[in-house]
Amino acid sequence: MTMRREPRMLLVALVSVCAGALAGEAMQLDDAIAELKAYDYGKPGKVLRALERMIGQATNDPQSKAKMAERLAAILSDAQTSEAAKLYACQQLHWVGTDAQVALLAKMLDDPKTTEMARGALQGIGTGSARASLRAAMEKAQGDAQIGLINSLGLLSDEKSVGILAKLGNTADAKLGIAAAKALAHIGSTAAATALMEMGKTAGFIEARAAAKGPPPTEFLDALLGCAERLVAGKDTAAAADIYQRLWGAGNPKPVRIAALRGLVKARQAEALPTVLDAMKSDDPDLHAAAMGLLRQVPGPAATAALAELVGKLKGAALASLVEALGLRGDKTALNAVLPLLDHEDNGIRAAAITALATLGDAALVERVAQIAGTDGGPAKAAQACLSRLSGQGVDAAVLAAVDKVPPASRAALIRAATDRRISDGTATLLKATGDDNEAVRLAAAEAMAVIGAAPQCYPRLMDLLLNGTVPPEPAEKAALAVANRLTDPQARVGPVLAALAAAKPAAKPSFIRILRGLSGADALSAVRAALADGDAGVRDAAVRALADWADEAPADDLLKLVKEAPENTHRVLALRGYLRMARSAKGGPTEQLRMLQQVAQVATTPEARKLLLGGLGDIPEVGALQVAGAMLSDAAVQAEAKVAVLKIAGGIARTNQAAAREAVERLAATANDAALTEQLRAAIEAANRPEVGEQEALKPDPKRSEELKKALAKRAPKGFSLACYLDCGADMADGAKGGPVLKAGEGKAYFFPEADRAAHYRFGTVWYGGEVPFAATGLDAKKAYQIGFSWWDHDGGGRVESVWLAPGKGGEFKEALKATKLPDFKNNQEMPAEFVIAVPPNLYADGSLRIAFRPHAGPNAVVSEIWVWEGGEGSAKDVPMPTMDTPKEQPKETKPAAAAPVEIKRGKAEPGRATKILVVTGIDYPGHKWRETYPVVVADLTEDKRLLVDVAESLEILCSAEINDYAALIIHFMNWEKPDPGEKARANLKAFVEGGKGIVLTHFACGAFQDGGNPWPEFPKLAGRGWDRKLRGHDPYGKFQVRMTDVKHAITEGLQPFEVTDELYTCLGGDTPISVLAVATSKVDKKEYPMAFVLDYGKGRVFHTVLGHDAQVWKTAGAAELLRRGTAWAAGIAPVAK
Amino acid sequence: MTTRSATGLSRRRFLSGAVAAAAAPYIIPGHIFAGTAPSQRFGIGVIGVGGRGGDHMRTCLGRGDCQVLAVCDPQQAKRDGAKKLVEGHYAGKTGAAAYAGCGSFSDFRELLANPAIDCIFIASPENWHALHLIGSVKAGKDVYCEKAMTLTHLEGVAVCDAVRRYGRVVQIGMQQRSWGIFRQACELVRNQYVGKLHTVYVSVPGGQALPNAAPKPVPPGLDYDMWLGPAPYTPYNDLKCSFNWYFMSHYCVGWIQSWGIHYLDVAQWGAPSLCTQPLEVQGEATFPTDGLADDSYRWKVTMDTADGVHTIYTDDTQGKHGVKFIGDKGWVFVNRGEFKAEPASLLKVKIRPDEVHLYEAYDHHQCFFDCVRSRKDPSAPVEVGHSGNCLAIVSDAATRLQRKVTWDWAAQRFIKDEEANRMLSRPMRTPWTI
Repeated sequence: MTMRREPRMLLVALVSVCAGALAGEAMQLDDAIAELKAYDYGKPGKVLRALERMIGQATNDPQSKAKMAERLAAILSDAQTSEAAKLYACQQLHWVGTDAQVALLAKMLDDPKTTEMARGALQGIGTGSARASLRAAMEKAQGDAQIGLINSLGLLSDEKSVGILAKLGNTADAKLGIAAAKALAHIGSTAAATALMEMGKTAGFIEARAAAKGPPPTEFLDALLGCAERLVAGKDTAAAADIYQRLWGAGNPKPVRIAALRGLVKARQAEALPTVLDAMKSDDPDLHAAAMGLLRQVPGPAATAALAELVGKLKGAALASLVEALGLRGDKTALNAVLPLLDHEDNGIRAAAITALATLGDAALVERVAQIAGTDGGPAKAAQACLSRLSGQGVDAAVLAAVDKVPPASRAALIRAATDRRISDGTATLLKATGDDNEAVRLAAAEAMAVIGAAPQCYPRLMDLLLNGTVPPEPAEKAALAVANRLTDPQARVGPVLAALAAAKPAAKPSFIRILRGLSGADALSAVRAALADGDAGVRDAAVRALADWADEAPADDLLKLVKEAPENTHRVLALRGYLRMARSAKGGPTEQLRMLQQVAQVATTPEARKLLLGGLGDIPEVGALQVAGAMLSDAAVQAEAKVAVLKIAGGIARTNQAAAREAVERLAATANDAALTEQLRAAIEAANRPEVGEQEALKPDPKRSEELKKALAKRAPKGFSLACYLDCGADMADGAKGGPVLKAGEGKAYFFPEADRAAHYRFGTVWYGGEVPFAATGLDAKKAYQIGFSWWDHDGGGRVESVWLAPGKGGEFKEALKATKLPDFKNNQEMPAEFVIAVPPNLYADGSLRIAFRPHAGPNAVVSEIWVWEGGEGSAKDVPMPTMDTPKEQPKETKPAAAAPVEIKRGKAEPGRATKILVVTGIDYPGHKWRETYPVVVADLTEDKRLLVDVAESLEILCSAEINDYAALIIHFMNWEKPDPGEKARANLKAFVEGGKGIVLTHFACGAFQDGGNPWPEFPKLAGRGWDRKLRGHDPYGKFQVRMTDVKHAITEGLQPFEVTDELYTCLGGDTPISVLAVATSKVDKKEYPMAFVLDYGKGRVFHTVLGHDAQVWKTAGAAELLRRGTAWAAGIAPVAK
Repeated sequence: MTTRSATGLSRRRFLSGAVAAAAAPYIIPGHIFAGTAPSQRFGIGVIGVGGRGGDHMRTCLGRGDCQVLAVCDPQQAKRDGAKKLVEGHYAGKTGAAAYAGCGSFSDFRELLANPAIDCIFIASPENWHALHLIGSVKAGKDVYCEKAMTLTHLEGVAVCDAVRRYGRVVQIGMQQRSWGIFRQACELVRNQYVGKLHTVYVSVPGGQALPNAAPKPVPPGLDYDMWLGPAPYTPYNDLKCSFNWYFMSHYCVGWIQSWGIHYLDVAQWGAPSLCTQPLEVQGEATFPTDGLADDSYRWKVTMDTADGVHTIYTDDTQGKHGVKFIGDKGWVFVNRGEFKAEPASLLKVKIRPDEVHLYEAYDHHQCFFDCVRSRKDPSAPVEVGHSGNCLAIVSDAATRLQRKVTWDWAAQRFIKDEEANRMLSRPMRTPWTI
């Protein structure tokens, strides 16, 4: 049963503050306000956060807002309210308070404990009455309280305060005086300015400084500057200028003087020039520099003239920046001052001058600048830019006119400038320039034609250039095509090219062929087709390439012919590729496409051609391609390629055309007689059609999906337990049957980690989250045992740390069942989801119900991906101590205790004769490898040998322990690709174990063990004989293959028959340690043989390594099981025996 | 008459008799600084020597044209550690057994009083930025200040005024402005290579929740009053005084502001109408439901300009980390590791001389020091720091008010929205004010 439920609290809370809220709902706000009163620092802040959302909502409506303000204010006068709550309420009133709260807040201003928070609220309210209350309190207050009130009035720019503040103008208290001055500055009215100036004369604290011959305090002078700025903004520039003039006085600190000078320029504009020029004469470099900077800002020609005069006096970077400034001013009267700098010895200055001239100069400069643009290096770049940007009348004409008057490099620069400037009447110049003696000029002209110049004249000229070979072909062809596109008469495009092609010498013909390919059309095609028969190899080559690259499918038949008959292999390949491209986009639809592909299949008669064809077909995700490739499956010479192509095409169309893909598969199944391939195809289609789970889909309850997940979990239930309830969190809210256990999600929100389903099964991507995430289980039977399982994942790398707590359903304290544990972080560490199982002590559900809570310790919130209940049989309840939990499965590193807990070993059944002890070490693997499913089969296989006693450890920590020495051999049945590696201790222990004369057996992906998150154990490939080399191809597609023995004399393989197995044929082993290969298999992909089992000696010990074993069914295959059993016996130092 | 350096910048105070005498123990031979004479070296003070401040300090230690002269932090352990690092560095450089030339203060005003200090690096929490910045420029220093420039809008206005008043060079730590791919991306957009711009996606890391923490006595070595500064008084606890303050509204508006500013700045660079035309803003955010943090950690905000640019600003669980500009002819996408475009040919476009060229800088620190010499504006001046910060503040306001707000750049106010306007400033704790 599933049902949908919305998170309650927030919804109700939002409703409650809307206008006309019902009485019942209003209780929610009442509760929150009551709770707020008792809030204190360090206590849970839920109520604060909830109120903030309510207050935000309340601002949508004046009535709600007023009511909210009233409620907040009410707690301020309540003696029960904590200081923390009062501060909070005042901060909210800063936001939403109204005149109605002013009186209450005003009272609080008198109490030193509350004055600070109250003035904050009143500052926010800021109405006339709020200001009046601040003023009244300010007059009475003293010390810091008074300063705070002055600050608030200042930030409110309360003009009515000027009078009271002026009264403080004679204070001797510097702190108070400066606060008043700052406030007056913020007010910034003419009256405030007068009060400030007065204060400067009368204030005791300033007088004291004056008596010591010091300037007024900087803060006071800063207030004057600030006030003056506001006067300027308020258009009282005269009053501002008075202040600035006074502060410019020599006795003041330099930063203030500079600021005053700047202010004078703002206030007096051009009239400030004499003062600035005066400052220029200063000995003080800072004043001098500031004055120069300001000179740029003084408007008017007089300032320009003053700056221009400086040109002769400055040097280096200062001169460069002066010139730049003149350019930015844009006052052309500076032209004559800058012009001489074109001859300056310093290239930097010349570049600056040229750049400035782009705005100051005119047409007269063009030739001169072009000369510079034609030089090497130096300011050439600036000159080229200047030519492009120079403004004013006649510049365009001057650019064209100058072309004839300057050296070649400059001519090219002018033509490029003409292009940048989009000069449209330069056709004659361009035509002439294409005949220039200099190639750079010709090229610039040809390239310019692409953008400017009259197309009808330029087009034939470009043909001529290509015919004569006087410009590099590539840019000229590009230009010709661009010009062709600008020809208004499309008919005029092909004609000149055909004529030129007919007239051209062989060396020039390819250019025209390429242009024709760009133009396309029937006439162009005929000409290119004819060129296929040209006597010149280069021309033929260009023709083939043009046809293969043709814009539409018109030359398809020509290409077909080339595929069949072209003497050169390259041409056949090009033609085939071109043809396939055309087939892929055939306009006639699927029928036409199929026809085209069938035709080419008939033409491709040699194995080489067919392989090439199949390679190309693989890239065409169309039904026709699948059919044609499928037909070649029966061709032994290309069967492997055909399979690859079929797989690829089917994969490509599986989503878009599922029916066709399935149909093709069925047909293949009937004809190809290759069960493995058929199976692979079916799997590929299934995989492609597994719906991508979008955020919305994932969050929708989906009974079918949940049922599937439940089935999988039911299978994995511990012995004696069955699955009672399961929630795919975020989608499912409740599960369970009446009369039995029911599991429900409590407060929380549904979320889907975007793209989580690309990394793992999407069930880990949907989460139920919140500050604390509660669940409730009811209908539990006190006589039965229960285990709570759950999964979680920190997919977005939020740094989540969570703990899990249990409590009796009908009251009672929560107890910690899982300590704060870091969730697997996918975003940063690529960690996969983790599962945990907690056995519940029966006393917690004595009343038939249980509460479960996930609490966040770090990260944005607590999340749970899945949660389920496993129920034991009748009378299974056993007293479990609390807190307790199952050994964490794939527990992330951070949760591991520093001192490793003893690892539980699952003991095999001791029986007479079972004297050789074997330990299967497992507990972690790549997620595709279900170690929980495979190891029981491995144990069962080994137990067939009556001499072996097989134990299991589900944690790599066992490798750190001396306990391994109790065993004759270890089965390495794990792959720990991510951190943590079991560590140095485990590595040394394992190495010593084998070196000392014991044995190890490795299965499947154990070849990749000890990766330690990218810091692999270098000795491991030597110990294992071969190790996973990630640079190599991983494995053949999962499927059937035959394992053949290569050494039938070895004790392990003696008498063993080849066997067939459905597995991943590993092709990824690397290393050069001497090994003895016992069994091999041949890859379907590359037809090479790969070792499937081998042995080596390591120290005094023995290593048996097999890469078989992707899943449990492998070890149910008799041949594989026997190989493993015998190999293990050998590694354990006893003679392998046949079953 | 005093000496002028070749660059026109005065380092005269090092040479004038009185100061030279006072500063004598701090002068390190020129060869240590790749031949840079003390007169042309910048004296550096660092305010806030946590993670970012420590980075800036180390950058300065590694530069031949800088000498770190003082550090400031209300946490004694931090400032002691920084002082030790600085002095150890210069002792190692000079080969002296001991070097004691790094001042160490809890109160930034004492650091600012040292006339040998030319440039200040500010890496305090956001609630302090305005006071540190304004204090520095008033003292005649040039400043590199971490983003976000200020906690509130009103503080931002005050900072702009003060910096321009005193003509100081101030670089805000929005380093994408000195990062080639971001400039290239924005130039493509500004010159309409993507056609008419209609959509901008901006995504940055979201914030986080925090547990509750019990009030505790202030530990020895922490000047808690200076740590709080203008923030309201609340008792000390073990969590708030490093890093976590990013997510507490008394000290910072969260990562919608402090991380967001990086890419909001890229957005405003490429789409200037975001900062010139009235903005219609609406959005939703997720706030922690308990604990110390009260800033949003997940959000989705849209901003619309009159010229039809629609900006979607989210945390990066709801969008790809970076900025994407989409026009009617293509798009560009950029983040700190990727620069992509459609059509891909845009990546190779060379902007013509007559097109819009944006400020070219390749290293944010280098750009700052170059400008200290040239007295020009650096790549991320205060006005840009302010407008980018406004985008963050406006976004935050819309999510807290849970309704549409309209922001008027000219008036620097929300249009007809009293509650939103009240959010533009906060009271400062006595005696602090701007």
